[in-house]
Formats: sequence, C-alpha cells, structure tokens
Amino acid sequence: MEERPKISRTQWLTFGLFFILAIFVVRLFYIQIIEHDKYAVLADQMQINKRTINPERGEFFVRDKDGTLTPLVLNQTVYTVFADPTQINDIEKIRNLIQQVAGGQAITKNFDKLNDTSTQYVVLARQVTHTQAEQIRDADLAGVGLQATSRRVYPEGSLAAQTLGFVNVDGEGQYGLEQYLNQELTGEPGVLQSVTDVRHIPLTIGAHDVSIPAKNGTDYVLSIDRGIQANVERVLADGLAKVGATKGSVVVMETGTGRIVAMANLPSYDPASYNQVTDAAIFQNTITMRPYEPGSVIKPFTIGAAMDVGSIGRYSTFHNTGCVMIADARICNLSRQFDGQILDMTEVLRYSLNTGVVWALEQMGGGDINLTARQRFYDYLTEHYRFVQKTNIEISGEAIGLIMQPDSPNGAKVTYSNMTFGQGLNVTMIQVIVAFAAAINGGTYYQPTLILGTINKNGELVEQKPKTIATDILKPEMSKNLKEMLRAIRSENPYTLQFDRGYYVGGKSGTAETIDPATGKYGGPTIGSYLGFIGDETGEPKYAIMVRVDDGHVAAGSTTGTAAAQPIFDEISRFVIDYEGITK
Amino acid sequence: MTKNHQQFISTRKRQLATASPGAWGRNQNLTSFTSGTRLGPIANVVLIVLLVTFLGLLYLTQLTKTSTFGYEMNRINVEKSQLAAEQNDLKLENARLQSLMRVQDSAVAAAMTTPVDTSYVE
Repeated sequence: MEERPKISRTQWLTFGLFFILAIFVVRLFYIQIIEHDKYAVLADQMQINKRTINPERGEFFVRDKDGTLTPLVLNQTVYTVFADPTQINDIEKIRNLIQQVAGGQAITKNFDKLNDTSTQYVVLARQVTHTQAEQIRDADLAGVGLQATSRRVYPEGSLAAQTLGFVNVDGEGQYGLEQYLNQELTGEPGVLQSVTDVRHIPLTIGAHDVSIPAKNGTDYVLSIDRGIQANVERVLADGLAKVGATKGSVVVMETGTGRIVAMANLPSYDPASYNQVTDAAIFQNTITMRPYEPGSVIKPFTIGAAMDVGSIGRYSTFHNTGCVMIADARICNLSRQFDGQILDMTEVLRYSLNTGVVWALEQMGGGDINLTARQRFYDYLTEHYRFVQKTNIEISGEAIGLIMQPDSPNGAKVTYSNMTFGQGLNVTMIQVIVAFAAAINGGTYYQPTLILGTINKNGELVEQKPKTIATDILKPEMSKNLKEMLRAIRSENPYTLQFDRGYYVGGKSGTAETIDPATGKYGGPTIGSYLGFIGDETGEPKYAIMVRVDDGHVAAGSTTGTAAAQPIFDEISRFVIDYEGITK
Repeated sequence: MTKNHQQFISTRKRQLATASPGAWGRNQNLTSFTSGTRLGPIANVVLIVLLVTFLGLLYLTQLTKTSTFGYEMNRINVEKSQLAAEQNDLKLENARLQSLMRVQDSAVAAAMTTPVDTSYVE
C-alpha cells in the first residue's frame, strides 16, 4: 500500500493561499499603518481642492442733490476666453463662435495659434461680458475655457478722475482715493476647501471641509455732489478755453464740515482707459499734490494773522507809498493808482496792495520785519493755518509744501515780505482752502474729507462725522471781521455784484509769478487763483471755493487771477447758490 | 433538608449537568432551555459577512446621498453666481443709463433751449 504524504496537496494549497494572503496583509499593514501619513497626504492632494475666494473690491457712490446715492465706480465680472489647442476638435467652429459672440473683443490675430499644439493656452477674447460668456459656455466647445476677472466700471466716465484714481491690472489702487483706501477697498479673501470629484465639484463629505467666506471691501459714499462736480468740470473747461489755458483746478468745500463737494482738475482722463494715458502727470491731483506760490489769495491770511495777534485792526490805516524797500529789494504794487493815499485794511485787500500786507507784517514786529514779526507770521502759517502739514485728505501722495524758517540767515526779510502776498512759499490748494474755511467760519479747522460715509450690510449709509482739528485758528471776532472784509471786496464791486445778486459772497483773487526755468528768476507765466466763499442770509459761510488757472493768456493790463480764475469762481458760486437753494 | 423547606429536583438531568454552577442553587426554581438547532462555523461566517455587507451598503447609501447634496449645493451656487452676475450687469446698465453724460446727450436735453431773458423772484 502506497504511503500517503504527511502533508496533502490540499494542505499545501491552503498553506500557499495563506502565505499569499499573509503577503497581502503585511503589505497592507505597511501601507495603511506604517506609511499611513504619507498616503493620507497623497490622497488629500488628489481629493481635496482648496481655492481662494476673492473678495469684491469696494465701490464708490456719490450724492445727488436730493441725497440719492449714485454709483461712481462699480465692479464688473468679465471673462477671458482661452483655448487649449491640444484639446480642441473643431477650429472653424471656435473661430466663428468667438467672432460672432465676442465681436470687437475677439483677438483675431491669435486664431492662427489654434493649430499650434506646442502651446496649451491661446487667448481668444478679453473683457467678455457675462452674457457673452454664457453663449460661449452653452456652445460647450471642447478645449475652450473661460477665466473670470473683475474690472472697474465708471458709469460717469471721467467725472472726478484724479480724485478717484484707478485700479491697475494687479488689482492695486493707483493715485487718488483708490490708492489711499486700497486696503479698506480690497477686503479679505476667503477660503473654500473640500473633497471634490474629478470635475472639481465640492462634495459635502470629509473632515477637511473649510468654508471661510470672503470679506468684501468697504463701499464708500463720497461727499462729492454729482451735480456740483459735473458743473464745476464744465465751467472749468469753458473758463480755461476762454483764456487759452489747458491746466486748471477747482475745489469746493463745505466750510462747516470740511467735506469736499467738488474737486476737479483739467486736463483729465478716463480711468477706464488709464493705460492709454501717455503723460503720467495727468494722473496727479493738482489740488493736493502740486504745491505752488498762490499769490495774493494769501493776503487775507496775512491780514487775519496781524489782526489776531492784535498788531492791527480792521480799520487800521497805512500810507500807501506804492513801493517799499525791504533790505535790498524793492516791493511795489501792481496797481499804482492808489499811491499816496491813506487806506484801511479792507482797501488793502480790495486793491490787492502788496505794500499794505508788508506793512501789516511790520506791525507784527512792532514796526519792523524783525525776528519777532517773522516768527509770529511763521507760527500763524504753520501752526494756525497748518501750512506745511498734510491735511490728511484721502488722496494718496499729498504734498506738504515749503515755507522758509523765520531765522534763515539769508534774505529772510525779503522772503517773509514776499510771503505776505503769496510769493516765496509753497502751499497746496487743499491746504489753502481748508485754512481759509477755518479763517472765516469762526476759527474751526475741520479735517478735509472726501468721504461722507460707508454703506453697511443692510445697504444703509453710515455717515462719518466731521473731524475737528482745532478751534482757535483765528479768534471769532477776527474771523468775522475777515469774512466781512472779503465780502466787501465783492459787494462794493459792480462787476461781481451782478453775479452775486445780493447773496453773501466774498473772495480774493491772486496772480502769482513763477520762476522762469531759463533764467532761474521770476518772469515765467503767471498762475491765477481765486479764493472765495458763499454764505447764507445771516452771513454764515456755507461753501468755500478755490480756483487755479495755470497757463491762461489774458489781455495786457489784466491778471490771470481776475481775468481767468475769477470768472470761473463767479460762475460756480452762482450755480451753487441756485443748486443748493442758499438764501439771502 | 429541613421540613420547613420544600425542595424541587428537576428530572432533566442532562440540562442540570450542563448548567453552570452559578446559575443553579438550592431552592431556586429555575430551568434552562436550549434550541436543538445549532449554527455551524460556515453559517456564522456567512451571517457575519452578510451583516458587514448590509452595513457597508447602508454606509455607501448615506455617503452617496450626502454627495448628492454636494452636487445640489454646487448647482444652486452656480445658479446663484449667475443670477448675481445678471443682477450686476443690470445694475451697471442702470447706472450707465442714468449717468449725466447720457442724460446730457439725450433727445430731451437736446430739445432744451437757453432762455432769452432770466428774471429772479425776489
């Protein structure tokens, strides 16, 4: 009888199967237990999709006369249409569809690249709207994709362009409010992380789901009034055209709050097409970024300072000699018809007498332009009127200007004499108008602002309160005197009366000489300015207006201050009176 | 044995023999029944496999159901985005139509004339 093997074939098979099973078990143990972390990471990389949710940039709104909010800057989602030549099937169909749907936004020169399979990204159209994108998506063409981006849209075109600034291709605000408020406008990105299927559609499973919504940027309501702003831009353009000028600026401010209701510069640009601007200087807001010698619009500040320290009074008189010698410099008046007369301070302002304000400065030093006089005047310019300081208006790149120290060794007397009538110092229009508002409103300096408030989650306006910086710019009595003196300049002038129609309007013109780059001395083209205010029937100032015309051409014997800048002020003040319903 | 206590002795010897010592004691009127049908090891394995399969299917059903919600949420989100985009386009169009430039260039504005003479009510 044949001896049976100790281990049968069935048992061998069983052992073999168990051995193979053991290999699997060991391998699985290695993968699942020992190498768990490594494979978990690999799995997460394949299954978990994490993407950033871009916040929506804050938008800008302005007020209308009735308080209605009107959009000035909005966002629009637009799409870039691209194709992957390695994935497409029907080139002709793609060409036809893109041309038909995208029209002018199609980049036809790129159509030839659809045959080039060495690249996987060919842009077929840019800035395609949502409706157009839907048509392309509905066509369901293989290898054609859409990439969403956001762009700024300006329904009012170039209105307040330099005030707004623009947003570059990287989504960064440039110039103006866009740059100054970039952080607040940008918001904070959110995160969406979840397990997705092969089409990257999020599935509601897994412990790795994260959903942090994006925090959109703040929406701002500007203090700018759309009606006034549009009118100011129109009047400025007309005014510049009349005197053959190309550069000019106007700012209109509420004297009791510091809110800017209009801020215009010419030449301007369309922020939607900022990349077509060839001269970057056009982006600059002249009102806040370009200090200049403002000329005689500074005279009210000189008279105000001298009255405030008690050196002179409103009715103080001086003997007008037409010219005065200060050190080795001869300072004369432009108009010589009042030579030899005894004149008071209102007449000094009315006839814009340089000798009169130099005399006022002398009185601050006890009859001489000594260090005391210069120090006092310097204190008023820098501490009271806050020149050579940022006003902190919400425009990026604000300049501070320059004023020589009172103890400068060379030419301080002459320089300070010149400063009394607005030469030899550099200030910005925004510094001047804010200080002017403070000087005539009783002495309260409000921080100038372009922001009326923000829009909350419920779509309601949350108003920002005016910010008081100082209340002692001038004593109330001196402020009142100065205001009445400025009003008298216009109310006793038949020409300006026709514009003012009995309303409480005051102001002062100024024409500044500029340095001729060829000679390095005064003799360049003049810059005309006008600084004034509108008050109600009680004389309470409501609006301050400042005009600047850089390169006007006026008739011989006229000045750009009175012939170029003042007519613009007259027109704007009349409009604002009617528009705002100011009483008399 | 005392007279005061009655004693019951079961006649089911086999069952008594298999009973655990702790379950039986004096004066305890207990009995135990055991089914005659016994499951073998294969049947046990099959039952366990069936149970695991059932639980697995239950889990998969719930998982699929949850995933379906994910697709539904995604569909609603896409729809929401599209509606938001349409709303935004309408908002833009509205703003453009109400812009001052548009109003100035309108037929109504073109038909306006400058008054020959203006007088103000005092």
